[in-house]
Amino acid sequence: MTDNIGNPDAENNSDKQDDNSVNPNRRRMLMMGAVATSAVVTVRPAIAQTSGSVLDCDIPVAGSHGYGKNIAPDGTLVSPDTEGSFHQDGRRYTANNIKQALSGGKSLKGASYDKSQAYLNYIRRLRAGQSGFTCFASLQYSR
Amino acid sequence: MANRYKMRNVSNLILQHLDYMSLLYDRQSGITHIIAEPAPQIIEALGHDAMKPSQIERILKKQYDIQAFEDGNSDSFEEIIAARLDEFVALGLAEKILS
Repeated sequence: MTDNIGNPDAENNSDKQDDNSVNPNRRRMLMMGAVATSAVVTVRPAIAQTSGSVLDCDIPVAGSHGYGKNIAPDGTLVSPDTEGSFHQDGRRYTANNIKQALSGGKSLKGASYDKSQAYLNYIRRLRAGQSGFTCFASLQYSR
Repeated sequence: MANRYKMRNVSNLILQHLDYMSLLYDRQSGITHIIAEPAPQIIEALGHDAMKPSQIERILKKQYDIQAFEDGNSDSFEEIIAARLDEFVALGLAEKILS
């Protein structure tokens, strides 16, 4: 555990720009992101709930790794001529829509029941590194 | 004049850096926050003090080579720092001192 909050440089509030002490972190690259790019995901124990902004994410069906393929009822990516498989065009579904569908409430928007089930199986099979996985992982922790 | 920000109950916060992100555990609430750059660096720069985003930017520039994440992104570093601080405020981790 590292209880390291409180930069030693920060002892005297503002006038510390002239401090030339050697800092081991000096000149490391810092990715700044953008105003609109949230940098915080909150995990609450017990109720295990993510902050609201996470539920604004969406998941493409399918991601770029499934380009040109169809989705079988079990969620696997198959060649487009596979019987019983469903066409996909990379449409993005919101976390809320997926959450409702996973809980059995409704189908994914614009999809028939069977197609929706195949798409949900695809989402369940997402792994780290595939587009939409982080969003799906965050859904696991939301109520 | 820009607002200043201050972390709440710094002594109750534990910051642990991992490879690509950091965990921030708040002992008081029992809540863990997974935070990405530049959020942990902002928290460390603030320490126990109250600062304006521009002051934090100066501290970070001393310590790091700062680069924007996306090409063509026109947000200033000060604006980005203020946005992250506002996130902390929304989560109850920091307070905004209006000026």
